[in-house]
Amino acid sequence: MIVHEFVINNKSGLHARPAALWVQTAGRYQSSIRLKKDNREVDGKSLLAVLSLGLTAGSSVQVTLDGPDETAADNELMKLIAELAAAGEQAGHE
Amino acid sequence: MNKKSWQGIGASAGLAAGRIWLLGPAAGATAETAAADPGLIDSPSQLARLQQAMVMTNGALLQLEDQVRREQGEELAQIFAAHRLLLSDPAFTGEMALRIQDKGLPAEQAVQQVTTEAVTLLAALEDAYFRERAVDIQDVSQQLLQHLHGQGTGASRFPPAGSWVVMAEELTPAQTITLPKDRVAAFIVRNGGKTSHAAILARTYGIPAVVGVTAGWEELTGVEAVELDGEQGWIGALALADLAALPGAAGKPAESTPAEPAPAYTAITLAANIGNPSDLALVRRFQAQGVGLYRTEFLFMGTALPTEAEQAAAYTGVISACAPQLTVIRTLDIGGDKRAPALALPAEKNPFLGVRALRLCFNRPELFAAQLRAIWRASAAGPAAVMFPMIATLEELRQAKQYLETAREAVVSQGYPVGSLQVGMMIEVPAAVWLAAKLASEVDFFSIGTNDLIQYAVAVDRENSAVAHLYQAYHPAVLGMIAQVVRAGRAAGIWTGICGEAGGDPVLAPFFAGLGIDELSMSPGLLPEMRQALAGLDQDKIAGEGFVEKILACATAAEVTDLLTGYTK
Repeated sequence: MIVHEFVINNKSGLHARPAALWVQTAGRYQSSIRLKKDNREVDGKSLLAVLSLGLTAGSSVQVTLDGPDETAADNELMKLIAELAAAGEQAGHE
Repeated sequence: MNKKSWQGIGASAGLAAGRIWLLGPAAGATAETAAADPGLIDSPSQLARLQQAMVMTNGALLQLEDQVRREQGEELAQIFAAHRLLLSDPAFTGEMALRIQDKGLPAEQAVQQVTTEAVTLLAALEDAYFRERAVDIQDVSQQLLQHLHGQGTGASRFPPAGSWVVMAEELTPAQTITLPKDRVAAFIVRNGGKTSHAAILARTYGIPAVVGVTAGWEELTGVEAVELDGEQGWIGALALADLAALPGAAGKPAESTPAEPAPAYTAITLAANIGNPSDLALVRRFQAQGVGLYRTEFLFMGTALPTEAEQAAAYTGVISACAPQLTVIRTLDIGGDKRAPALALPAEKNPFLGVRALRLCFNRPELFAAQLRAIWRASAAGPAAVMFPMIATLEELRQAKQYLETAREAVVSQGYPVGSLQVGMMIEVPAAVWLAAKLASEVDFFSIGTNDLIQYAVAVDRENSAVAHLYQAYHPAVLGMIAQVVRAGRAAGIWTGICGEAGGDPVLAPFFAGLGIDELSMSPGLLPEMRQALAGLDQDKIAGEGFVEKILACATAAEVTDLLTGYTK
């Protein structure tokens, strides 16, 4: 099981398209993926649940991955979070 | 024969006739179903119904997604991709299935219960943007309910053939964009003004439209077919038999044939206003000499913001398609009447006087910088220009140019090739008219945005139909301002164009010609008429002494129009 915190640092948070990308990525893995913020823990493979956390820019959130492909899932999801921050929403680089 | 008629505001010129197609939530979709009696509900069959509705909704969404991707690109398509994701969401449809199984609910009730809870959950969030996602949930839910009722949904229900007059209480830009334009003969919209986005888009696509039809709306919705005049704002009821007898009406929408470019006034460049790369087809069809106004804001009006790379791709597409002719890209002009959910703009008491356009860009420097970098990246694709909207002070212009320079350095340092960009500004604030001589020395061109200029000059909210009569393009003060700007531009050696609605008004053609305007940019559908108007001008009369002065000396808009009509051959 992998548990760690990360910060949503793309400009507009994990809303609509970013949240959809997260859910699509998470859905490709067998492991269970859960997100927790302020004592609310939800299914990280559900768009509605992820949206309901209201993860705006700067939110710190805890992810728990559990299953056979947990490391690969974690790596790809963290890569996605980094890419979202880099992709046009933040000044400085593309 | 039915002789009933209705009056609205002419929003997009052209004559059309067709059967009425009502756009709106399907009747009965939200109707309460009978209370559940667990003993009487056959859960397996209810589950099967839900499954089938999910499959059908998915199919309809896929179709819409593909259509939007083809017509408008990836950005808008993703709205529908996200909607499809909800269909396989364990917390959404998964929960609906559980309720059917565990509580013995009928499918409709399960859908409604879970939707209500999801909407409540999102409505409790602090961030306005997240709260707005409730609309997406309701949208998908409604489609599920419609399929449970055996009806199709939204645009996918649009009749596959024929020519239809689309009638709606309100028409959002997304709806306007996603309707199959080859089958839409005209739009009739109850709410909204001549410069609402639906109206602007209708003109872009050359589709006649009548808006602001408030009186007699209920009666009108009961009519089967209509004929209408999108210029006069007139709608008349038609019997189906009469419709069939009309030449060309029932089969396909009226198509304006592009006229041959006029020999007269070739000094005036006739360009097109576009909102999307897909409008390029219209640019070609109506033989525009480039794009005088590329409204980039439609990229930003989806549920997520476009990345720099996505913007660069969109701008490159337009610039390279228009090359060797010029493409003028307007930087983000949002706020005021334009909504952009992804920007989560706070509501303002006077949005037209508030944080909009360049003011918004200065408040969101990362957004502005990314757009300017994208424009530079696209600049290598062909002749291009950038222009800044809503400038009221010289400092704003200088600040915007500073951003542009910084963006160029960033792009160059990243190794992207860049071309040269003409730098211009829109003149749409009376203060900028007064300062035109000073501003002209700092830009390559002016583009007069008459829609806002009129609004600010005569103090009329252009969305408010109660004061629409005061919104006059022929107001002597407005024409005086245009003249002042053109003259200031010429004195400084820069070119001046008009990209507001007045730029496509053939009545004003003699005035523009007399003034020596360099470019007129308009909805592509208006180009043939303007070309014809310019060709029909009596050049000797216009070149005659004091022509422009005579117009500028008029006291009323009526005097102006009387004078103008006397200058055609």
